[in-house]
Amino acid sequence: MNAPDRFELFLLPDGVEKVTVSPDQRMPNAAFIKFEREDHTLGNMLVKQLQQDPRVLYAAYKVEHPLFANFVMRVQTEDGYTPRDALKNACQTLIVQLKIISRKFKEGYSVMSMLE
Amino acid sequence: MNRESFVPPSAGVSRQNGVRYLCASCAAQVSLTKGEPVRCKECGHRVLYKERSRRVIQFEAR
Amino acid sequence: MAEPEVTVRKAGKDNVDVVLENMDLSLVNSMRRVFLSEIPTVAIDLVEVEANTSVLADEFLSHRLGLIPLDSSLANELEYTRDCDCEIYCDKCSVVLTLNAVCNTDSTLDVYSSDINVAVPARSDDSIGRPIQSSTDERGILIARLRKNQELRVKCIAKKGIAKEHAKWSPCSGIAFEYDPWNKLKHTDLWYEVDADKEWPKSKNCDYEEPPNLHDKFDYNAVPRKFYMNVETTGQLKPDVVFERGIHVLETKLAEIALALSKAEEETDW
Repeated sequence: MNAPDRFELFLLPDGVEKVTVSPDQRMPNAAFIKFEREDHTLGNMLVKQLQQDPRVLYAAYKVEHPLFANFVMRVQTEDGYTPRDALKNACQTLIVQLKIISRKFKEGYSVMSMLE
Repeated sequence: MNRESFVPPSAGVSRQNGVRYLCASCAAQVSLTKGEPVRCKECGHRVLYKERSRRVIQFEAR
Repeated sequence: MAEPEVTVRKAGKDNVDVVLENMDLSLVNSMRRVFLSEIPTVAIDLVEVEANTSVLADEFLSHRLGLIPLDSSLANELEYTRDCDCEIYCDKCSVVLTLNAVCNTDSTLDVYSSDINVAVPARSDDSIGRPIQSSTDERGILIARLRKNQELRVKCIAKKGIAKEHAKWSPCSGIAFEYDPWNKLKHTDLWYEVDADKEWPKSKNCDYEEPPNLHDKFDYNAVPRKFYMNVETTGQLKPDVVFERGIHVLETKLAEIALALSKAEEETDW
């Protein structure tokens, strides 16, 4: 009776932004980034990738409440590097990695499927 | 489940032909209009079930 | 950092066994999550019951019909009904299937998924929406049983969706996922009565890694880098298609984020 529609887990309604960046007032080069209609699938992956960046000082995410499909991420970077850029680079690096994985899988699979 | 589209009964209900029912014992189709005694035409049994509505019902397959 | 490596160990009809190396645990886990819940497939979503005198209730039957796997290899060409410009549904965003069964004999009539007919598609001889059959001599999934004079007439509308909305849209029946079969990283603490090593069975993947040397010091900096994944499908999509589309979905998600970030950057001066 009170259950929300399942498509609210991934469909962005009108007027809601996918990504909202708000600077952290208390520290320089730090920001809170809110992701709407996303979950641990993106959050965990992005945070781990950000932590590999040597110019990123702090990266973490949390899903504030399991009933709502969003999470908030905090990123702090060195001087001269914005959290926004760090996140963009993390996305790019992951996309490149995924493309490599996809290519290698296709090659490996075409070989194996010929043997079956 | 069924879409919530409430359809009110048509005003001036006296049906032209009579409502279809099914006999409980012999499964014969019985057509009754208002005022007729509630009895099966063929076996005289007095328990009649109403037939399933012709209206096509839509369900979410979830 | 070394490049990710992918080794396909087994390419079966319904599953694909892969070994992934030089990747992060979070990336492989995200791939697993996407394969299970975010790959679009086609499944029956609306059922119009014209006649049902079977012993199964209408909603019971509709639920079963929704769970029948339908061929989704061309799902990417189908639009989502919510995005389509038609009113309720049309050929571009849905597939209409019909099921008509009447029992005329004294013996029980079994209604199988192979009895479902795809309404004549406006497109060419696509297989989209056709119920999956594991082999031609089997009749598919048993939907209902009819006695003499019982009838079943339904019109089903299949739509595109993802498992996040309902599990019927998941192309995977299960994904086996393992790393560190010898527990060298000590991510898990095995329960034991006397000796954990003797009591717990060895995983098949133990053969693919070096057993630990008892005299080695514990490497506290080690991080999982080698993952064993077996993606098993229900037939809606071939397992290699699941893998490739899943990665594509993940790439699209990331690209969307990068795009949204750039867009937001232009709007604020910060």
